[in-house]
Amino acid sequence: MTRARKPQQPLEWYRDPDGRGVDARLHVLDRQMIDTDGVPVSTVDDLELDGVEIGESIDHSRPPQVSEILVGAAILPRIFGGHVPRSRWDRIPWEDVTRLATVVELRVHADDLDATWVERWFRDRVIARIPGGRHAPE
Amino acid sequence: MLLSDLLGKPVHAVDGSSLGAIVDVRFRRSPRTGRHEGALELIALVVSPHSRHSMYGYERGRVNGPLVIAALIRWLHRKSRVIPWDCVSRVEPDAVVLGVEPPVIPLDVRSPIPLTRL
Repeated sequence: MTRARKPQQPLEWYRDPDGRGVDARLHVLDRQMIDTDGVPVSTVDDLELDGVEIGESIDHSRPPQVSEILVGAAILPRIFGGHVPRSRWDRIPWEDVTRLATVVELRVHADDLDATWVERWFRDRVIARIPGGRHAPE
Repeated sequence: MLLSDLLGKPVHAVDGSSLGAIVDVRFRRSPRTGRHEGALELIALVVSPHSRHSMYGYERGRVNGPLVIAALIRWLHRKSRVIPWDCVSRVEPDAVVLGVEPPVIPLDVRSPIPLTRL
């Protein structure tokens, strides 16, 4: 285990001179995600970080990495405070991300993701029962 | 741990003094492999001593308009700095605790990094 230490890189490196840096709030949070067909999925509400736990000493031999994108009812805690319980988040593994740009592109289909179950439930149980709700407008 | 557990937390130096709150978290993107985006590795915390709010991209140094808003955000986040993740010892429920004295790395890329003894 490697404990806290002096920076291992030149100090200028932390200011991202080569543009490979990604700032969480600026470049990732609230970005739109689209699936492999270009269908909008949701936005990035939070990220799961692998390799660091609250209350435990940090092992610097392996830097923490983003392991999952979390999607859920993030808007309510932002307004009223508090936290969404960890079990209530829907998770998309980072391995499913094909590109992080102005949108986050995924290599899966939106219908296969747990993150879109509310939308699918409304489509199948509510919208489909309205007369004309099963086909596109003519 | 969730990213939101870090954002907004105060950062405490080795001697217990507060350096400010975490306003953003900097990752470094590994090279792409095939159709996979590269892994994001946590390399640094962006800490602001005066505000917990977002900087709305103004910290990147190339945006400076509208002038009034740019000036306001610059003032709110004056003396913001980058703290390398290597210096962090523990993440407590109410604060991030550093294990070594961090170098002073101003967030604004136009400000020079002061020379320090390492």
